[in-house]
Amino acid sequence: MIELGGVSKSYGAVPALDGIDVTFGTGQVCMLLGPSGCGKSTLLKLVNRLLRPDAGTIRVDGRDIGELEPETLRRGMGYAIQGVGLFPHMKVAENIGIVPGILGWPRARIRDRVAELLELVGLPADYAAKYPREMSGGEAQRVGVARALAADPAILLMDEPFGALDPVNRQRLQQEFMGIQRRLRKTVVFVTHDIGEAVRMADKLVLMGKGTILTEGPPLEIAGRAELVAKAFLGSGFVLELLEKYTVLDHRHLLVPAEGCPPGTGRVEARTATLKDALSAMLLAGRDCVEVDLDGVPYRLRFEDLTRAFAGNTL
Amino acid sequence: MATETRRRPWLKEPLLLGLLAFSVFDFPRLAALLSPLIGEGKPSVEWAPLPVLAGQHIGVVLLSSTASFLVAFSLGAASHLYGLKGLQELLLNVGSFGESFPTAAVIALAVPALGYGFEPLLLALFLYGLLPVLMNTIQGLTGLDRDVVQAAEGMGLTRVQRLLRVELPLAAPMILAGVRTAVIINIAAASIGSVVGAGGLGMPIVSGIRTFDPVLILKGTIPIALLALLADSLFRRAERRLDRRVRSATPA
Ligand SMILES: Nc1ncnc2c1ncn2[C@@H]1O[C@H](COP(=O)(O)OP(=O)(O)OP(=O)(O)O)[C@@H](O)[C@H]1O
Ligand SMILES: [Mg+2]
Repeated sequence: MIELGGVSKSYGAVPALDGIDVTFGTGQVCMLLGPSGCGKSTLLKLVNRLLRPDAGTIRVDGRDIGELEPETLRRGMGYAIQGVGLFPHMKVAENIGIVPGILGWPRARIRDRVAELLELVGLPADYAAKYPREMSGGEAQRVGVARALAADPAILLMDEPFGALDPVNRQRLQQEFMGIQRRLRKTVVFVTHDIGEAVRMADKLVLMGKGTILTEGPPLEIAGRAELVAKAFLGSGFVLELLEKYTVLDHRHLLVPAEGCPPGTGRVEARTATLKDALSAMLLAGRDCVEVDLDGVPYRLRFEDLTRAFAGNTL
Repeated sequence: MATETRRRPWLKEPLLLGLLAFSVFDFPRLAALLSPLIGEGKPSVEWAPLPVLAGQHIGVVLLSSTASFLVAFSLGAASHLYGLKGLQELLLNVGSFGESFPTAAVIALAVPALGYGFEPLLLALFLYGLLPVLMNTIQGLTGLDRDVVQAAEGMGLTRVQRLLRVELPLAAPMILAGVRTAVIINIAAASIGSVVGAGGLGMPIVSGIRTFDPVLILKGTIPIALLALLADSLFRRAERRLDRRVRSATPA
């Protein structure tokens, strides 16, 4: 767990963060979202001690990071820097393997790890022998992500790690990342400008304004605070992204018995269909409800109940 | 996108080396070839054969440049390692002040202390070689891409690991360029050695000036010029090779 208490930081006379209180829970993905220059990168750099706070304390698993050796602290945290920062004189394999090497992993294990990570981020195995200058920006960025994951750290600090990727690869990497996350349960602090990415990946969403935290919480909960949502430039897309985040099963408390479904109603599978799929089925069939199959038992989801999912935070 | 620099064929350097050997080992024939341009030389006394003088010249440059490199590089790297910005500024200021002293003055001042001969020359050349190496080491290490340096720090590399594994390899072309400057300066400046009895290719030049003999002057000047060109070319080749390896990633 990472806890920031009353943390402030300014660059010279320019304040960048002002009294930040926030907690990033163990095993959770926390997405930091906010306009450019609001202090997201500064916050990450405070957590791995690239910067020291002017005021306040930062604790990792209960220990004040000011009391730890910076190198020890950092080797327990993968860090994907905004703007890639690959070492231009090292091949991809050396870039990815540098921290495992420092930690004393045997060569063969590092080689296997590099191959595994390249596959994970969707790069061909022979990219191991390339230099950063021989890759596109998006490819280099994926190597940056692989490098952050290399030594399997418990904490990941990711500063817009998918920013240079095309939408297809971006979604693919998001899914890969969530796949790893479900298995390994890392503590992730992830900066993004992409609302869809934030909503899809977040266990907890932290919305920042200029140097402050506007609001934080699970995405669905945040949707209930319409006023703040508008203030944080989330826009209407935010709620529609939420529809895609949850399956009908996640909201099975909204289901009602199937009796009374008019003929011609659409039908979805509760385990696989998202709320967006359910809404689409309603729109396609021109009905204000959809039939839901939950493990062979038929139910019904009504539009009026769906609206409750957002207004009332009933998850 | 990095411009695709093809490996340059080894043409210039063997040619320069051949010319250098020709000018040193068979100067009379070179002089005869050039006689339509430079006229006939006067008969003159030789203190030492030209190859010996060239050997002395090269020897003192190698020795002084190596010493300058070791000292200036260590100072530059250490001041960077310990983040001593003040010391760096001081070093650079003292260095450029010292560089503005004429070589002849340094040598003249060194003779009373070190006596006649090889030592005062070595000292003067050593001092002159310090600044370019120091300057390029400090600038090469401080001017690195901030993202790259911060990535290294953020990944948990120690200060020394960062220096050895990231900063020095990336600054290497720049540092090497400083060494090149030092060597070239020293090749030319070593000519002054003849006036303090350190020999070298300055000997025929000084005699030539005394006797108004252009051929004798060229006997020293041509090998010095070829030596400087050869050294320059070799260093630049090495710098290009390092630079190719080090060039930054394509902008994201
Ligand atoms: N090294 C620095 N020196 C001075 N000011 C800085 C420095 N780094 C950041 N700032 C300023 O601090 C503020 C916060 O910067 P930060 O990089 O944390 O923003 P960000 O939220 O990550 O922005 P972006 O989304 O554009 O990456 C900005 O106003 C920025 O100009
Ligand atoms: Mg940023």
